[in-house]
Amino acid sequence: MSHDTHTAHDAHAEEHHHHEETFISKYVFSMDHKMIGKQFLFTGILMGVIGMVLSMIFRVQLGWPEANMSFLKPVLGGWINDTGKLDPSFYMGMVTIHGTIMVFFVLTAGLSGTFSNLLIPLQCGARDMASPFVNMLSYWFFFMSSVVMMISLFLSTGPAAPGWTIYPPLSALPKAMPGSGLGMTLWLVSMILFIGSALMGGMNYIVTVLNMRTKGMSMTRLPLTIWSFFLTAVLGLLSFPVLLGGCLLLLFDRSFGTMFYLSDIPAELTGGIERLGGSPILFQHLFWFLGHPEVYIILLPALGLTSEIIATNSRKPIFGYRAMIMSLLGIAFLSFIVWGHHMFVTGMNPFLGSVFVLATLIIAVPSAIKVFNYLATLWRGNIRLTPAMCFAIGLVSFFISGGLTGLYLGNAALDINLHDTYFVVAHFHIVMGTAAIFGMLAGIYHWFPKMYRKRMNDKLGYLHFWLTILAAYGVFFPMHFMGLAGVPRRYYAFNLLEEFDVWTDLNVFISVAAIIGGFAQLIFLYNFFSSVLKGRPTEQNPWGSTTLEWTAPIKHIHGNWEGDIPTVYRWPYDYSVPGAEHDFIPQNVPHEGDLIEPNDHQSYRSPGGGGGHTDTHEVHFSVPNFFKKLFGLKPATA
Amino acid sequence: MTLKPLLSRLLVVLMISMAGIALAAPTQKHDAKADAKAAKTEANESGKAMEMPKAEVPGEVLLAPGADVKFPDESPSGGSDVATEAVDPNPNSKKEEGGPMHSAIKWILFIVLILFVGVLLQLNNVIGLLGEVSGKAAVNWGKWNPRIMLIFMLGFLFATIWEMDHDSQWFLPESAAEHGKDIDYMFDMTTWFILIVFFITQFALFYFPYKYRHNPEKRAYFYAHNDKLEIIWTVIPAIALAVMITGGLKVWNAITAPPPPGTQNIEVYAFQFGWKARYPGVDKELGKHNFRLINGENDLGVDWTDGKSHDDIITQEIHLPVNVLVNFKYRAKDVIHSAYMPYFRSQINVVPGVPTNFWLKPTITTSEMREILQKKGRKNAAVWDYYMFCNKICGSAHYNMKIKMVVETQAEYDKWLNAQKATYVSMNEPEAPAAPAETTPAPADSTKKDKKIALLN
Repeated sequence: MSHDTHTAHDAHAEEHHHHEETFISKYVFSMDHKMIGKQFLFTGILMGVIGMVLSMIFRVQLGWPEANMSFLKPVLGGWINDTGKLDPSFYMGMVTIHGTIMVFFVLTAGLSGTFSNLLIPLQCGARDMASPFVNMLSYWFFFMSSVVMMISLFLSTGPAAPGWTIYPPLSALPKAMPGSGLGMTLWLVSMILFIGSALMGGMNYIVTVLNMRTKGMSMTRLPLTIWSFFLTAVLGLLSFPVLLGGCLLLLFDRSFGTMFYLSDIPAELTGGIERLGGSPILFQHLFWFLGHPEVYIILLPALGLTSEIIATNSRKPIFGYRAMIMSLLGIAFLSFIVWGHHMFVTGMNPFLGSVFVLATLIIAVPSAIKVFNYLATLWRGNIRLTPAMCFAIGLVSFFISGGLTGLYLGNAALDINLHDTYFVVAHFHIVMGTAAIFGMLAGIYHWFPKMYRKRMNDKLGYLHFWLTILAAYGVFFPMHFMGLAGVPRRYYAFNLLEEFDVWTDLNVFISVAAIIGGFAQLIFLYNFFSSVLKGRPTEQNPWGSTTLEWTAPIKHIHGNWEGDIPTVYRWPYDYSVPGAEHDFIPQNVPHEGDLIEPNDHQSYRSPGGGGGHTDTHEVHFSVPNFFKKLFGLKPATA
Repeated sequence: MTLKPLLSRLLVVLMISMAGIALAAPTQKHDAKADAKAAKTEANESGKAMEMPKAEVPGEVLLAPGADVKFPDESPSGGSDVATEAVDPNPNSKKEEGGPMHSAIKWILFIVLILFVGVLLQLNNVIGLLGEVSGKAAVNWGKWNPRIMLIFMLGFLFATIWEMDHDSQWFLPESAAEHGKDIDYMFDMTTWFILIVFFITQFALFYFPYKYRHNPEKRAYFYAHNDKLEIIWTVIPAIALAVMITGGLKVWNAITAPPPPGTQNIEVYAFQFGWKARYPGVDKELGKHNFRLINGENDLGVDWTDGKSHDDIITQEIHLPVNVLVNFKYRAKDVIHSAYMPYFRSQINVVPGVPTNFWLKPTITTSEMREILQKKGRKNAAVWDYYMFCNKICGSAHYNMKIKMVVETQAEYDKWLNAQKATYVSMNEPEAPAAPAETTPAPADSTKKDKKIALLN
């Protein structure tokens, strides 16, 4: 388990203490993982606010399509025409940029980037990431990519507008819509930079988790947060390059006259040569090959954070630690073979469609296991409702709601009538836009003391939570019904088509709920920034948590621990162990008696330190034993 | 802490609230009036737009980059009312609000909302100070949060049921196509399963934090795993999903199978931003087409040298005889569109260069569906029509790209079809007739017939 690198790295860390730190090296081009995590957080929050403002604007358009929007002229300028109507192509541009920012910049970089950077070295017991320099680069590539994306909002032809999924030929033909001009090119440039950032970060996370765990920290003693960050990084490393390829081919089609995605396009429409022989569906395959793992890249870290927060705040081990790891593995593996469910109605070979139906509905099984395990963790716990815990419970609620509607969409025959309707919008907003965001917020509330050495205001946290959960359900739940009635998505207005005009009142309700939800986030922003500046100082381990990050000193030091890195003796979920003095035992507290060697079997059952759990059978029930008994073999004894 | 900071905060709260109310009240009243006026003026506008003759104007509607972003003035389908507003504003409409006063009101409202958030923040401080003055915490969040969770859960579950009932009036009625019955059956079966899981899990999720709320005197129950339970709640969902998969795939395979023999073909052509249909005519075969032939006069790129195309009829509406299998063959001119007919439970992308098709058997005529909708309480059911909508982002006017569909008895359908003229015939008539309702106006150039082009189909 590479304990040797541990000592070598320790020596290396000593050298760093002699470095002089300037403002630039400490706060700007920092190579310390804790600072980089905060940089990702700040940029993620900033992009989140921008994405939210965009959504407010187009929610105003959808809720009140007849209204005069000239009051937005100071902000949007010429995109509001003389009669006060928002330009439809800019509307599509806002929808596109909103989706792109939220999916990639906030929920991938802002969620994975922040918490992987903060927690992986601390919870694994490492001094820093495997390559602090590459880590720093990964943040600055992300920053550059954000800048390019923001610049694209200010172009005279508008930002990229073919939807965040940028299907060609709409995105490949600059003449097809204004947003397919320079805005689309900048979008592609920004994404190429972003993919670079994601790959660099991902490599770092994987290497650190595999190679730099402290003494005694076997893989099955890792907290579930680390398991999810690790698998997320693997997902990213394997799938982002495919999007990179897809984007490069799209750039070629746009600028160099190639025909990867284009066929039967006459010369007048391309503004150049005619295009023949390619297939737009190729792009969709390449895009969704990333696109589907991407949504699990978003979800898995949120689930990992939730596991930790629910266990800590229920004062109970997470139920079924091993099953949770298995389901993470199952979700991660299956996520690579389900991308076609985004393409059921493209006209692809129906047999291929059936394969994707099978894989997609199977992926519901590990997801269900996780939900049941969370419920079992709460059962007979001693539940402390901190704001982080509230958001974690909110995540589970949204995950249940959104996951269940996925069962309709994953079944191809049902998807025929639901694809690209508001049903899909409701589904993905609930799983990504609320569940994953709640995970991010829960993580911020829970690890704020670790990041900033201060506490956030709890009362404001509760207010923020209740307003947000009500607003979020108010916005996205009714959308299911719109989708069931056949209302398409990405429509600038509904009032022109009698068929969809009946939904006007509901759209007003949704828009009002969205605006309330938007303003509720101001409470969070105020809480966050005022606590950074003048929150009350925290104690060492405010939540009574067992994981290693709380053993590091409150004041951040380069290298995380002053002396030796703690050695780990037990798994991370020794909460309320019967017979123990306190209701939690940190991972680095040794057992009475001998040091027990890391071993999957024993570390999971955590013998010593209190007698384990209430199993009185001589032969302990376990899955391997179950099958052994089934086949008449001798089961293992405890 | 003395009473002074408490009182000063209360004063601030009062002042902000009063300012907010003072600003918000007349704003709302003024706004409501302005909106009512605006709505009325626009209703007049849209009425006018609808009456304009739907002359089919050929030609490119793609916008050049950097062009002043306006709507295409010609919109062959349905008349985009908003576009007409933007491009051709009625001088009367300038009377409505739009000036600086209106903007100022909206911005004041925005500031009021921000101030309201400030009020909430101050109230939070007030409550904290009250607590300090009285000696104990003003609000025992440890006690109240679990209760609010319980109340939320009950309200949430109730609201779910209420909404399903309330919004059901707008749900789609029974399927208007035969295969849709199987889809709806699968849907209902899935819904039952989902509702059971939803109610049980959401109940447990919000009930447990209440039931097992924190008690510093007690310890939680150390229960780390139970493999038997894990197996149970793996196997049961797996069985349920297996049922959904097999049922769903049966329906899927039936729908995506090749069209049965004898199915009529109708070509449906998508372009920015409208649809056209091409009927095969008496020879029951569609003429060949080639994208290189697409130009102003020949928007569909039909190869008029092919004899089979001479009786093809290009229309702006789709008429279907009831209870007759029809196969829609889709083609796109420029970008990906999607042919979505929610009442028929039919959707498939229309991709340039990748021909797709979807076959179905309509079972409910337009007049029958109007009665069904009337009974459901849909307003304007008497003038309702089936439509095919574009359902894949295709550009600026994606939201207004539709084509009317009519399902009628065989007799009515034959009558309609016989009244149409073959496009080739009308193209080659000696003088172009005035305002033809559905055929291309300009006469074909004789040079076109000489082009020899590799045919695609």
